[in-house]
Amino acid sequence: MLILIISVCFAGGKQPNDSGLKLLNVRTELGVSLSEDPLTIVFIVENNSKNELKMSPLGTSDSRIVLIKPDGTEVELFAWAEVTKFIIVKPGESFTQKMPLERIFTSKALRLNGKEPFELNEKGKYNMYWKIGEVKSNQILILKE
Amino acid sequence: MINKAIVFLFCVLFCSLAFSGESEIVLDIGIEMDVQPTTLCFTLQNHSESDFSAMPLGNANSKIIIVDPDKIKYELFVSEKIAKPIIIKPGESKVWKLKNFEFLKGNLSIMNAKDLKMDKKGKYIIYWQVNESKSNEIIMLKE
Repeated sequence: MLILIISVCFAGGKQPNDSGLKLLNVRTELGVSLSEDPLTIVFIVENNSKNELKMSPLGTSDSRIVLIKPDGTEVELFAWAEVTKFIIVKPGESFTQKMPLERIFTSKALRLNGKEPFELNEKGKYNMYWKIGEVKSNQILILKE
Repeated sequence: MINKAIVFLFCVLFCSLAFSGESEIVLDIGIEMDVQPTTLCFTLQNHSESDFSAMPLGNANSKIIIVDPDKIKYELFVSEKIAKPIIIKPGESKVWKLKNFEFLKGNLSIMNAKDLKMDKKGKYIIYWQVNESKSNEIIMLKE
């Protein structure tokens, strides 16, 4: 089932806007919420294209949270969950998702190169970004002491 | 011909020396993990070969800039009369921290941003500028 979902997401072309590989005029941004406590990261996607954008929830399928560790290696937050409900963003609209920062750092769904489970204990500077298919967001710098 | 080449090379060398200074000062804004309340970290790295004299946040040439959802730009200055510069040696860095986004809650004296209340909904962009060096931008969402 999971393989089927992933293959559908990355099929490209025939879907009305699968966010798989071609996402022209789609913009992704990472920010910090001023309205949430504890510290919460906001994931904003703007669909400036003429088609609907269909994407999976955060950390599933082609919607990946990526952390660059202090030593430069990248880890992905990737949930091996079945995606049953996709997010549809209409042309000209934007959609915001949120996730507490602590949850990202303590998630057991972290994968090193998409494979081995991983924990983030190292002190130093982390950079985080979000990508939907090939579209990457800005990076947020996180300091862990 | 040789003279022109020498003049050209001299100009290139002069320009590279003249404009290289500020890029050796690297500014970053980040958020601190594992700390409550939420804290912004302002890091200055001195990659030059000489000492860098840095003023505390919001003083003199150290400006925090906020662009509100209407694209209006505010510069935040702390109205301290006496602020001592900090010397950052080559290869070293200095981190300043603002807990709980103090400047957003009016705990700091803000001289030229009295109208900034941060109550508009939308995206705010924050960055930091020291002389000509500019940090990355942080997006903050008010809902």
